[in-house]
Amino acid sequence: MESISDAQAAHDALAAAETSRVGLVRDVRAPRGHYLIAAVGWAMFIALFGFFWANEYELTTTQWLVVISVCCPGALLDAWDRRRFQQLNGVRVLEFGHGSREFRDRVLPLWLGIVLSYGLALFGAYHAADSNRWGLLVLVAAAGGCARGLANRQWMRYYREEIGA
Amino acid sequence: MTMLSAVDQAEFATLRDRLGVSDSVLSKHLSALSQAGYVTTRKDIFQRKRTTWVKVTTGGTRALRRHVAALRALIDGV
Repeated sequence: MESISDAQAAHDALAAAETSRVGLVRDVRAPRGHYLIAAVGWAMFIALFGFFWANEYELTTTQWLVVISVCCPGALLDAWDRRRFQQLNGVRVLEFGHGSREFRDRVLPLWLGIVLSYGLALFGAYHAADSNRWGLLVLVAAAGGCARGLANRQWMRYYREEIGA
Repeated sequence: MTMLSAVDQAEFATLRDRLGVSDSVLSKHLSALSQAGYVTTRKDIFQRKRTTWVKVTTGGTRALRRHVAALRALIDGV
C-alpha cells in the first residue's frame, strides 16, 4: 500500500503538469489577419489553377507573368503567416497530431470538407475560366478562400477544446 | 514533457518562461531528456536571435504516458 504523502505528491505533480499544458494551449492564438490571409492565399491559388487549366497550359508570356506574379506572393504570404504564428506563440503545431484521438476524430471531417470544397472550387474555376466568365471565376475563388479561412478558424477552436481540455 | 505533448515543437524561451525556471535549469533538464532519447533539439534563428526548438520524440511520448499511468496508479492505490 502506497503512503498518502506519495499519492499526494503524485497528484500534485499531475495537476501541475496539466495546468502548464492547458495554459500553453489556451494561450495559443492566431496572429492578426491569419484567417483572412489563409482565405486570400487559397483564393489566389484556386483562381490561378482555373485560369491555367482552362488555357490548357498553353499560356502566352503575359499570362505566364500573371501566374508567376500571383503564385510567388501567394507562397510567400503563406510562409510569412506561418512564421508570424510561430513568433507570436513560440510553438509549432501539427494539423492532425498531438496524440489525441478525439482531436483527430473532430479534425478529420473538417479536412475532408476542405478537400471537397477545394475540389468543387477548382472544378468551378475551370468551367468559369473555360467559358471566359471572369466574374464567376473570382466568385468561386473567393468562396473557396472563405471555406479555407473558416476551416482554419474551426481548427483552432477544436485545438483549444480538445488539446487544452 | 506534458507541455511538449500539446504542440509539435516549442521554442526554448517559451518553455523557460512558462515553467518559470532559469536558462541553465531548463538547459540541464533538456540535456538529460535528450540523452534519454525523449526529446530532440534543433538550433534556429527566432526573432532575430539564435534559439533552440524542442520536440518530443515518439519514445518520449510513450515514456510520458507510462509515467502518467504510474502516477495515476499511485493515486488510485491509496
